Amino acid sequence: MVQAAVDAIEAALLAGAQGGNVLAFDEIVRRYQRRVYATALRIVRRHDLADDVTQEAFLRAHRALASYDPARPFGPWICRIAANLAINHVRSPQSREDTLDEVALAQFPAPGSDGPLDSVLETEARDVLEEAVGRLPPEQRAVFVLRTFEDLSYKEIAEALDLSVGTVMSRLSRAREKLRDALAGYLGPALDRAGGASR
Amino acid sequence: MTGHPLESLSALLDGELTDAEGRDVEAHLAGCASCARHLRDLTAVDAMARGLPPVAVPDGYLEALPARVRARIRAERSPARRAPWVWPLAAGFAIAVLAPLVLREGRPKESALVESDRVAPAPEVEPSPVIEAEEPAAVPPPSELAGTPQTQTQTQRYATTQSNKPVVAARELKQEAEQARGAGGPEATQGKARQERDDRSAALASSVSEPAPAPAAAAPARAGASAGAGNQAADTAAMRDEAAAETSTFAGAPEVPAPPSLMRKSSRAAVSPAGAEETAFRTVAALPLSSAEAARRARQGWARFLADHPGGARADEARVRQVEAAVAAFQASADPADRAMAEGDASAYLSGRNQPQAARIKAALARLEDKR
Repeated sequence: MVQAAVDAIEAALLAGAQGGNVLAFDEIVRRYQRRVYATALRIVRRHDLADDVTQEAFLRAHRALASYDPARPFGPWICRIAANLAINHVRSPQSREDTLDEVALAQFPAPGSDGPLDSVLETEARDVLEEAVGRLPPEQRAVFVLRTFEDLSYKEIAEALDLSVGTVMSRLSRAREKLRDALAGYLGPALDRAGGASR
Repeated sequence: MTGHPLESLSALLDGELTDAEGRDVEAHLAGCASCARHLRDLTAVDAMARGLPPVAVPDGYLEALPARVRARIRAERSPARRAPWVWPLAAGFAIAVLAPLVLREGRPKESALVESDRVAPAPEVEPSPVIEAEEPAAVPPPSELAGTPQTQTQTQRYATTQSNKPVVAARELKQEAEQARGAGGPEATQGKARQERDDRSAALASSVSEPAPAPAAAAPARAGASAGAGNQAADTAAMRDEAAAETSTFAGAPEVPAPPSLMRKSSRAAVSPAGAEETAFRTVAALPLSSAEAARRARQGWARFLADHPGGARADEARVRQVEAAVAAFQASADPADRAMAEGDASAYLSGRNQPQAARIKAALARLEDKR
């Protein structure tokens, strides 16, 4: 019931924005800006670039409002736009140079002791994972971000990034392989925890 | 199934296999301890990734973003972008109306637009608020919110609420930049005359391109709506020359409004004044902050950008980045001069009323304290 009311409000906002209501689109931006920014930042890894991508995503969405169906969920759509812009950006030569600099600065911390997974170890594992995601090739990172944090299907990711579903599948698999390797020292406790949670 | 189906394990985790594919993989898993362990690892990695904390957002960023997006939307709605034929039409109109007057006065060597100042003199006052009006206010004029035409009373009231301080700061920056470029003396005077000339021709062009709700309200409406389409219509005249000047101000800047990575399908022929501003913005934004010297250059770049685009859609962001560049210079150098520069830039920004990114400026100033 609550979700239906939220959806109705969003549909009304989108309809208003389509009609040229500036405040309605403002509200749409407010609702989705954190999500769009997060998607962009996880791919481009720098605030200023994520800011550019976020603004550009909303501008493109605004331009496309006339042909947008308000019955469709806005969130996945705007995040796909942002991801597409972000991946285009990280493919640029300038961005690759930046990424190299970033990689040179980012060193994985060594895994901690073999003791139980305490909060320090958990924090350390999260840091390692964040670093490892940042070290993924941009193409793999974009696919991983859209799948893991936006929960998009392979088909939706393929459409967003102009790839085949098979390419999405292989990139995601390779990304996960790399993350698994980076987290090798932490997976035992994590599995124990996951197993405990599932019991 | 031969070998270890690693890609299929990942797809199984996501529920992206067909029933038949899923049965094959599960059959393989039943007899392959290695793949079973691998799938458990992937499951754990996925769970850890989904449990990562939300990304950190800089202070004040989300509060300011809607207004910044709104300003850029309005910039896109400027007449030059909306209707590329407006400028030729305005030029034709100006020639048709003004050329006979020029010829009659027997001053053929002066341009028709300069002559137009004499034929229809604009008040000799300080630069018009149409041009000087600052970056979009956080709250748009009430009439726009209601989707109705602006009235003179509303827009006049709105205009009077704008602070003059940032305007003065922007003007000073522009003067500094002109001096730095050696544009003083007669050339500066000519440049100012050209600026004023273009301001008026912009008003003419906008009157041709956009039917005003009511003749008496049209001019003040544009003056008041600093972030609105009316303001953009006026700004576009000043920006026309800026578009041509980009190659000297920002040497090496591409001619397209945005880098290929973001605007691959842009057409050169469609470059608008707003696009020129965007190009300049991105050129400066690409400058590194990796050393004190680099950060100082970036700060100077932002100062030049603000001198050239004081009322543009990106002006507010440029002011913030100017401060951040100065802070970066201080962080790299610990030079008190860099600190003073940062504090001066920040003070100029914060002196304005309702500055949308004040929190971000304060966060930058806090980084100065960290350096201590």
